[in-house]
Amino acid sequence: MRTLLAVLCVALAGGSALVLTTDGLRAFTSEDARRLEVSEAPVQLSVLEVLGTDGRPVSLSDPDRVTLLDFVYTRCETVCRALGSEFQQLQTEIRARGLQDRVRLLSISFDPEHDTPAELAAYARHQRADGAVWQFAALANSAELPKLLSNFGIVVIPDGLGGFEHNAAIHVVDQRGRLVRIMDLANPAAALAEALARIEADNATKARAGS
Amino acid sequence: MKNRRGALIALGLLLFLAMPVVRGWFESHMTRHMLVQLPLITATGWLLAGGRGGPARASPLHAWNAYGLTGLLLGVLATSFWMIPRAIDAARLLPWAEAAKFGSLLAAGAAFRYSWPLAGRIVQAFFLGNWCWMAAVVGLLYQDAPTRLCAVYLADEQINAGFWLVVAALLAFLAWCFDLWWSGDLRRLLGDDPVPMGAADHVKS
Repeated sequence: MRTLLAVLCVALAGGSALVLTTDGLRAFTSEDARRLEVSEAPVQLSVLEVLGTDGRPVSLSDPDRVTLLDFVYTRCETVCRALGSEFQQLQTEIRARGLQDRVRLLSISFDPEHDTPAELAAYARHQRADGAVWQFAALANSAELPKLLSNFGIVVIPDGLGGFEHNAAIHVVDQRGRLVRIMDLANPAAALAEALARIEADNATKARAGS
Repeated sequence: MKNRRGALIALGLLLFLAMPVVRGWFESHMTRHMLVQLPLITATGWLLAGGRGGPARASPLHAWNAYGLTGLLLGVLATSFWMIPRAIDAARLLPWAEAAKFGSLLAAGAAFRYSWPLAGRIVQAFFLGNWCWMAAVVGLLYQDAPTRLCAVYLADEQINAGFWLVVAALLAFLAWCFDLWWSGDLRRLLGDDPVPMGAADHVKS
C-alpha cells in the first residue's frame, strides 16, 4: 500500500517534471521552445546599434514595415547559403508583388569581427540584394553579441571545420520592434504570409482608430 | 572499512566529474555527454549508496519500495528525462539544470542500487525492457531527425550519439539476459530446477 503511494508520488513528480520542461509536451527541443515562447509572448528587442553596408546605423525594426530577419556570417558555406537563397526568393517575390513598402528583409551577421561593412557590402552584391528590400548589418560593438543572440534565442557553436553552426530560422519583427514569430527556414512563403497578415491587422486597427 | 573506501572513491569520482574542466570535456560532444558522462554520474550514485552500508534488507524504507518498484521507477524516469534534447541543451547552457542533472542521476544510481536486488526477475524485466526499448527508439530518432535537435550539438554528433544509444540499449538488454542465464534463473524459469526464481540473488546478497 505504501509502495503504491510512493510509486504514484514518483510517477506524479516525473510526469510534472516532463510537462513543465516541455511546455505541456509541446516542445521537446530548445528550438521548438523558442518558437513557442515567442508566438505566445512577443519579445521586445533590445536597442542595439547595428551598422549597414555603408557603415551607417540600421534599425532592427521599421515603423512602417514588418521585418523578416535572419542571422548569417559571410564566411558561411552551408546553411547561410541556403538562407541566402531563401531570402533571394523572398526578395524576388516581394519585388514582383510590389510589397517593398510593407515588408523588408534584414540579414544580421553574428560574426561582427570579420563582417565589416565592406565585407557585408561584397556579400550583399554577391547575393544580388536590392538595398530597398534587403539590407545587411552587423553589430557596431561586437561585445554586445551575447546580448543580441540571447535576445533572439540563437545558439552559435563552432562546426569543427572553422565555421559555425546555428539554429537558422526566419524571425518576424513587427513595426514596434517586437520579435513576434519564428518561422521555418524551409518555408519562406509562410513567413511572408505571416508578415502580410500582421500588416493587414495593423492597418485595420489604424483604420478603426481613425474612423 | 571496505564500505568507507567505496564511499571515498565514489566521492572522489563525483568531485572529479563535477570539475568544470572535466564537465566541459565531456559535454563538448553529444556522445561523450550522453553515453559516458550521464552513465558515470549514475554509477557514482550507485557507488555512493553502496558506501553507506549497501542495500540493507531490514531498512524501514522497504515498506515504501516493495519489489524495488518505487526506486526503479525513479531511476528509469530520471535517466530517461536526460534523453530529451531540450533537457540536454539546458544542462549544457544553464547551471541550475546542470545541478539538477547531477542530483537526479545520483539519486537514480542510488535508487537502482537499493531497488535492483529487491526486484524479482519479472519486475526487472519490466523496467529494463521498457528502458531499453525507449532508449533504442530515442537513438533511432536521433539518427533519423532531419534537423538538429540539440541547439548545442552538431548534426553529425546527433547521429553518432543516436547510434551509440541504440548500442547501449542492446548491450544493457544482452547483459541482463546473460545474468539471467548465468545466475541459473533461466533454468528455474523453464522449470528444470525446483529452487524458486530469484532465490539465488537472496543467497548471494
